[in-house]
Amino acid sequence: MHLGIRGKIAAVILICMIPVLILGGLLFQSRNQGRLEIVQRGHRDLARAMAADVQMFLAGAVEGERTAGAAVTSQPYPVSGIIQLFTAIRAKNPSFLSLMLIDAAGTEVAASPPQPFTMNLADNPAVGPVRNGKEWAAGPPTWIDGHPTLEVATAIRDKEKLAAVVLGRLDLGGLRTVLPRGLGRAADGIILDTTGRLIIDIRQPARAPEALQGLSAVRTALAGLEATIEGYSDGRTGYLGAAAPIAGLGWAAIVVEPESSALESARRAAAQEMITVLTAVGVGLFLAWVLGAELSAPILALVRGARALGRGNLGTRVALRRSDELGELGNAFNEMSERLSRYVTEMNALQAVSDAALSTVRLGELLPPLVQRVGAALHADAGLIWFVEEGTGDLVVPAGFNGALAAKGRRLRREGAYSTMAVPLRVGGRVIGVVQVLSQRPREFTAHEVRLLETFADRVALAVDNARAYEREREIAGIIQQTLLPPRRVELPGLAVAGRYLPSREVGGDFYAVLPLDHGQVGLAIADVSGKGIPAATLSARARYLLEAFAQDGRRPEAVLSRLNHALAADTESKFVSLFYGILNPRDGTLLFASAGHLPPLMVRAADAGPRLLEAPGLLLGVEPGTTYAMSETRIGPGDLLLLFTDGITEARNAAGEQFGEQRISELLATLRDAPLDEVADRVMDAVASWSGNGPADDQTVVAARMTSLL
Amino acid sequence: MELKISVRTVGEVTILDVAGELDLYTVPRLDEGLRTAATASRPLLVVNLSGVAYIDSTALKILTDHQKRIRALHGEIAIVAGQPAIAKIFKITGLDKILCVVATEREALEKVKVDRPAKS
Repeated sequence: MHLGIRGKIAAVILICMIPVLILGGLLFQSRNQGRLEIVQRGHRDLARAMAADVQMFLAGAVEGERTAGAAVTSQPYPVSGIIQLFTAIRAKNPSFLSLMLIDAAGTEVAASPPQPFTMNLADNPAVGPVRNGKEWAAGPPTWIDGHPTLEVATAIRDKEKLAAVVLGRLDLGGLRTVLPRGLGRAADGIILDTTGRLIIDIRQPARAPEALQGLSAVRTALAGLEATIEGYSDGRTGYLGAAAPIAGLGWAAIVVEPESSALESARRAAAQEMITVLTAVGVGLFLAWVLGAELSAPILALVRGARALGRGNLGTRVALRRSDELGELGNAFNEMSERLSRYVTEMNALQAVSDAALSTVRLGELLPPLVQRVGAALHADAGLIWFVEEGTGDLVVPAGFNGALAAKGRRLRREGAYSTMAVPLRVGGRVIGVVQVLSQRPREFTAHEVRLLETFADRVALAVDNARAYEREREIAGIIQQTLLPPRRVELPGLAVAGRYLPSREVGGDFYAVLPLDHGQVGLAIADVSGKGIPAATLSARARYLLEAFAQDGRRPEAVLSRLNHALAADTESKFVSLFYGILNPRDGTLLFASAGHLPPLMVRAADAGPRLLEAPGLLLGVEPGTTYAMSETRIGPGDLLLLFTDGITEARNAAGEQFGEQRISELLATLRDAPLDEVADRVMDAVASWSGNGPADDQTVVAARMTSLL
Repeated sequence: MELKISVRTVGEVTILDVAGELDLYTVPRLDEGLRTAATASRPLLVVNLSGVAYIDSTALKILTDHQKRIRALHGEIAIVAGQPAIAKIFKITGLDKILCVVATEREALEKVKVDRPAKS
């Protein structure tokens, strides 16, 4: 079964409640065993209350008699007046069946209702004890017309001396209206007199009074002590109950209840208790759930927060307004989230700086974005890079770093810079400069921010070092390359040559050569070495010198290429070289040529309609050691123009990515047949430059040659 | 300078579809692509350059180097130069005599299967 955290907490609380429940159950059981006792205690209380009620009833009667007696003895009263007063009292208290005034000698004075004859009541069982000094006394109960009645005599004294006695006959049936108080529906209340005779049975008819009389409990009560009734049966039903003595009378008040009823109420009480227990358990469950929810809600909130964090919502916060450990956990989470967010932000900033560091190797382009990103990452208003000048050791703002400051928005005014920090730029333990950030507002840079700037400085220093190394390499490659190239203009007998070379950003491997050979012949070559930088430049130099050496041997073009290839292919590391080589004889206008995978040059002759390509098949140099080349031959006359070029020209691309192409060169050249040679070369270079818009992606080389005359 | 290389197989032949520009900067990726594609004991490879707009000499060098390597493993490699400009470069440089350069992929697939050297 799958329980959420809330269910689990509730389960734990419930499990903790189990011992409490068991204890409660045990208590419940033990109380259940005492239930009979409780029922009986109830019965005893009821019996005692009944006894008290009977006494109250009697006391009320005595008080009534005393009041009446006092009234008529305090002053001389005619008999008729006494009878009148007593009749009025009886009317108010119908329990008095009769009231009689008796003199101290025991002779009737007056009675209500009036008696047919005057009685000597000196020996009356109630009057006797009063005349003998008791304040009041009751006689034995008698039954008149089936009603239990009781004579009660009360002493009326005048200054401690017995003046008269009032004798009243009470209808005990009045007790029926008094006694049932508190008696259960099924219970019965019974009053027995001293002899055990039944006086009142609240629930008539009487329940086997004879059997009651025989009970030891009843005898005990009649003897003046309370007792519990058990095992009493009227033949049909078993009873439980209690008996209590009625003091002053020697009677007994008895409460009995059928066992089934008593146990029923016990069961009801048990059920009630069960309901109480179940309610308590229910409340416990509810509280467990509420407590579980109270405990689990923050955990669930943390789970949601962690998930949000996992989805990349950095800086996610959970709001737990609690002062307990869960609140601490929430705070720890928020702190972690914030740190993570800050960490990722810093990582991104570092990445941005690294990206800027790697974006270019040209110092001028490198520094502004680099310093801008460093400044942004540290929330500074401006950043500045200083270089240590070699020799002097002065700090200078590097050349090409426009504006000196890379500021956010407007340039930072000198007086506006309040706070600043700077760390050295180190390369291999050597300080090459300083990177500085400035803030327009006063602020404190934390130790963490200083460390961050140092981390950035490492990247900046590396980038600067790389850029400088690149610049050096470029410079060296450029020098090598330039030394290979003949002058822009070469004049030889019968032949003029104009060459143009535009190196790309990274110096490549183009070269061309004009080689005066034996017998007035001239060797004309153009080549493109694959690759860039120093390796390409050095291979270029090697190919250039090999070509010159082989050409001087007086060999024909295809032989020169074969030997060149042999030499270059031996070196497995070498790159490819494309090379066109022609030998022009100004004496007879023959042009012998061969090509090793180079673009065919264009020739414009007076005799032809338009420029034609000097095509010659042949594999690139350096691919296969045994490659042989084929020689081609053509004729060239005075004024005829020859244009050699490299793929930097044909493959120069415009903004749309379209290549300049052979066709455009050919069309341009058709218009330049009679143009001065320098102009031919310049016009081609210009056309390519305006085609591609920005600087050359590859080395661009053009060689224009014209036969001036036949020797 | 974008370069996309995707690899698929037709039977036992692995085809590299190359699209974009092959120059000094992207060639290392072609090198890597060819190296990982031709790992079988006798690799059969077609390099489809139909999507290539530009190819420079360093790329040509890589292709010839890999051909040597693959042939040493008794495998075969064919190059589809669908675009005339690319085909022309192979022709001018003479590499069409060295490399197996064809115009369509179908030809290339036939080539690598037919030219596959007999088991040695």
